[in-house]
Amino acid sequence: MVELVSETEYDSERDRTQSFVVFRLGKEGYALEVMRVQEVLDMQSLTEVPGGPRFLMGVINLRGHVVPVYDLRAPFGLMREEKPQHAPSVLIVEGVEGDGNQITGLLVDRVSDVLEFSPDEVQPPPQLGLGKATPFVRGLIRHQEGFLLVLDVDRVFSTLGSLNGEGV
Amino acid sequence: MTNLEGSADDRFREMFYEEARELLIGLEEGLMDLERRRGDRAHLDRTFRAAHSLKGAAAMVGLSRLAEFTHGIEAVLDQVRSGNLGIDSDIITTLLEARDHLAAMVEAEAAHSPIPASSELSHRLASLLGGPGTRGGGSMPPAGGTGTPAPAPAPTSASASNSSAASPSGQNGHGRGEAEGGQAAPPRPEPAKGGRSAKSGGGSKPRAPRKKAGKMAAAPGGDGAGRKSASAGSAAGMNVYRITLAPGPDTLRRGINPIGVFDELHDLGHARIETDLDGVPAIDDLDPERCFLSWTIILESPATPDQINEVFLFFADDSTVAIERMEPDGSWQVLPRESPADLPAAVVEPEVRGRGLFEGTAPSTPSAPPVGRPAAAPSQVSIAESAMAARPAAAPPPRHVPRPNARIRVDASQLDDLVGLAGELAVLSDNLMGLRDIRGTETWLHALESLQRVSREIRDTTLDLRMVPVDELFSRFPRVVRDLADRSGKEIELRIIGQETRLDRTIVERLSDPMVHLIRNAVDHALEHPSDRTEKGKSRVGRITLWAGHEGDRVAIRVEDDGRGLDRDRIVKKGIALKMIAPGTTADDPRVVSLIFEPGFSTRDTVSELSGRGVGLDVVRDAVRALRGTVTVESTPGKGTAFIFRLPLTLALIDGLLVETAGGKYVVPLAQVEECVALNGMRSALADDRPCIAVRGELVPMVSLRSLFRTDGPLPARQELLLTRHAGQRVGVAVDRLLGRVQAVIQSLGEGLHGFNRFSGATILGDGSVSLILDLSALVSESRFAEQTSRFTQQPGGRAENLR
Repeated sequence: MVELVSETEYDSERDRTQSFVVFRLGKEGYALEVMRVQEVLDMQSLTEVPGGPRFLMGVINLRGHVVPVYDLRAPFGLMREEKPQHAPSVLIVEGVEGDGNQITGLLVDRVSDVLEFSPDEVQPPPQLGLGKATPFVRGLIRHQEGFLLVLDVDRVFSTLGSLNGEGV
Repeated sequence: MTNLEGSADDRFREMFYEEARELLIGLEEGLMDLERRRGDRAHLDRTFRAAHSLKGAAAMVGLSRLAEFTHGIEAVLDQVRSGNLGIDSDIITTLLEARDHLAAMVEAEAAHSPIPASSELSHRLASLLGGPGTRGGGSMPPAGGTGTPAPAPAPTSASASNSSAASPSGQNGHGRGEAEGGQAAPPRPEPAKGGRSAKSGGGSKPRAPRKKAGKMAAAPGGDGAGRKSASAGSAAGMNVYRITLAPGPDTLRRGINPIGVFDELHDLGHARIETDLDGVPAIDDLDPERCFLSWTIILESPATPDQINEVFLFFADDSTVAIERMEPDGSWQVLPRESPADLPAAVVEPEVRGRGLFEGTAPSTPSAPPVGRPAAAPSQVSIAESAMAARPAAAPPPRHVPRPNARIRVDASQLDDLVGLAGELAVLSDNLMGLRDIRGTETWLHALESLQRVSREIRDTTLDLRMVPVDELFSRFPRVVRDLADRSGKEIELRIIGQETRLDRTIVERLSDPMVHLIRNAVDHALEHPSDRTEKGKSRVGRITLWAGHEGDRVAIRVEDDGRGLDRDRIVKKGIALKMIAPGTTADDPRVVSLIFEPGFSTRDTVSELSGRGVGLDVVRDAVRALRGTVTVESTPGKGTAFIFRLPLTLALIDGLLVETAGGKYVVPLAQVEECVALNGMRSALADDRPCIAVRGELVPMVSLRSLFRTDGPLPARQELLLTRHAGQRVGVAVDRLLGRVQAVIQSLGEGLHGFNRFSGATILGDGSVSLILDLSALVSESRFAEQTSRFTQQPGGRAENLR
């Protein structure tokens, strides 16, 4: 479980900087706006949905609400690790910004941090070189020795949505 | 202070919108029935009052454009009421269109993006009133409005009466109405018009001996007009009224501004108003939302008592309004006050809808101030006529007024949350009963049982809150049918039976589209043209019947027509052409009828304007299935067709069977299971690769959950077969184990999984794990479709359900 930074602490700087949840997916680091993330869970037991959409891992009980959990590795062209080094994390993300009623779980390798960046630090994404992840990346952030890919979570949802109903 | 007023204003506006929506419903229903209930005076009055109340309500919250547009509708209805305008289909259509536009205006206002009144409709309304001289639409001031000065009361009314007599059309027919007023003196609706009608009333004096003497005897309780003519004779058309007004404590909260009343009274004649400050408490006790003032008004006016009464239409029973008239001998005669309480209430269906802003159903308060109090008040402050600046905000000692059967409005999603929680509570307390089996817990047994009982009661009570009468759904169909009949040139009668049957709110909401679909089908395809019907010896008018009622623990809804019935031969031909049924199937095969619910099936090759554009009955079936219901059809050629929905009473809870297959636990709705039989030892009745089983001599096709879910692993030694019925046929669904009965709180599977048919939802079991709810009939049609696809197209494993 990662402690999310409380909003008020950064009230004065909120204009200039934005907080991002940083997580790993395969060998890359990704960043997603904190505003969209309701909470981060450790992977728990989930109920599989036979014949469900391709990337649907199953559904979980989040304090009495049934929430679907999708595997984010699959649409990014990554294989599912049989024996991951760390237990994977589940990002609980609002399907529509500010709407706490539509929440979806996204399974990622490991949430590592919450960091702040100013908008100027977000560069446009490269047109090539990211493979299957290309449509889901809306920017790059230089961080430490490498780059963080900024996740376009709306694109992720619309892709998942269009896959729903396609079945196995 | 301005801020405070602003927010209070907003609140009144909000209340107005809700009230307006209800009045608009009442208006629509009233208009719909106007043609049929011709001559039903009470109905006409109710309809008129819906418009009148709406106009007044709009004016009171300052929405003058709305009020003016409503006035156009009201004016037409008024003419109908006075008998100057006969009801016909065109008038109703215009009024309905105007109502729709009015509804749009209200919604636009509520959304803070007001739209203008339709001048075209205003014009059409005005033209209904007759000559251009009576352009009622825009020019009439609203009831509470102060903008247009009313015609001055005319003591010398002879000339006025002359003019009204000279130009009958120009005077809105009012002169005529008033001259005949002796027989039917309904409450005069329009204070603004009051001046004029009063004029002609006064003016009619010369003719009075002839007309009135004759009519007065015939006047059924027409005390208003009768007395009026009496006093008109004595005081040259002027009456002197003494009105005592003591608004009830909640009057201001209901958004009623007494100042509007004074304005109206000023419009009627010369009013002298005295304010009684006696009830005003010390500043500390002053509740700014309460009205503590009362008034005594001496009004010299030619208006009739009915007109005066109408001014006070919006004062509920908790207000005191006493009207006295000075008799020729100088004494005061108390006039009976028509109780406004039952006027708007009748329109608003108080049973169904909440008590609201302008609705007069406020229960009478036993502690309301006695009538005599204001008049007997010792200290009276005289106030100059129009300087009614007195804040009608004052406070006698705050009284708590008990409100029997008061209603509150609740946010629907909050209610749903509550129902969900209550259901979970019941499940949890059921689980706790397992503690009984543990030694040493005997002392807690009583508490456990009480907990179970109370939580079940909570669940049942909250469930009941979700139930609404199906009338909320049915009541919109008369309009739908009328519009469709208009367009198709068919004559249709709609009968509604059992509209008080209560159903889950969500079901009622979501049933609307499927039902409209069926009704359209009935009008477009099923019902014949009047000439064809008479030829066939049927009544000219086609009939559609909507019926609702209970069938065991389910609710059944029938949509029935007496049209031509399903054409089975054509369905069979089409079914064979589409390879949905085997060639050679006969028309009386029971499966034929269910074909019409299959996706892509339509016997119509052309798309008509009325019925859908290639959207078939499969949409209806899917919608009903999503509500955990079924739809069946019964049809007799030449006699008609009936579609029957069978629906659960509530969507929130489900009685289910917990089953296990390949390690997964699933809930099967008990309503879908006819029987469970053990599968072990049973051999396939046909060849091994044809999954069919003989149950007591009957050949039953079987669907294996394991193969459907594509789970591998060794088959358990024992399996169970759930027997269900699909399209009239028994089908078995094989599962590994039965784990017992559960009562499950249903949750949706979450965003993006709605189009996914085989599971109708999910529930959380007592151990906190999530279990999926299986829809057996979707499973069966899925596997049946898969089998047929593989047979016809050689593509194994085709997707069963169409995508949405």
